[in-house]
Amino acid sequence: MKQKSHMPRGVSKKILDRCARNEPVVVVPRNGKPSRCFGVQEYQKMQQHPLKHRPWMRRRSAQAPDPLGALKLGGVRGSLRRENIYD
Amino acid sequence: MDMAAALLDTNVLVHAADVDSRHHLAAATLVDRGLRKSGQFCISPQNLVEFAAVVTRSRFIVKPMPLNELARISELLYKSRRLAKIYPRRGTVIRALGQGAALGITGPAWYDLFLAMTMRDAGVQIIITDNMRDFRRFPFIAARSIDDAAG
Repeated sequence: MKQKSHMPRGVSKKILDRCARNEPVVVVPRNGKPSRCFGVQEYQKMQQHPLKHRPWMRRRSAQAPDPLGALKLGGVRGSLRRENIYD
Repeated sequence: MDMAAALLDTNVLVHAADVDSRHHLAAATLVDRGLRKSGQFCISPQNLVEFAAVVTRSRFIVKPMPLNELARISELLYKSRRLAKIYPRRGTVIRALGQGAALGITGPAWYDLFLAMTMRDAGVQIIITDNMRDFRRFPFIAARSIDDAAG
């Protein structure tokens, strides 16, 4: 059975808007149907985006701040009172 | 520049710089706050020199800090515009000598007193430190623990 072709109203409106401004349009299909419209530059910029959002990494760094770039120094031996520091 | 609310003592800087320290998380939280927001915390040159003296000495730190890392961290603290620096005034030494004599200070406690007097002259009344007992003898400043201040 031949599938009926259908252009969503929002997509056709966006294509017409861009064409009215003499802008090239990129139409991205989804499930075999036109789905989203972009300008060429806008689309290229979107393609270059890494799309690697890792919220758990951000949450982890927010939980444990490390403003100095701390090192693994093995811990502090004893007391850091000035009577020891200036001994 | 805003008046800093409290001074971060040398031991706070040391704990913040050592991941293996038991106070690391609390100390790093405080230093982070100080480096992000103006008017929160301050340090004095005495703290930076003591920091260098502690972290490069195996008597205090299991694995002493390499000198290039010391330079990096010290510069980060020193150059921060948000973490305020307080300096002794011309009369701080003579005032400290008078105050120390009045309080009966002896030995290395004079270094605690000089830091406390530097704070007083800069209008800072709270020190955040692991050595609260050492600062209780100075009636003009209040000492808070690292964990308490980090909240």
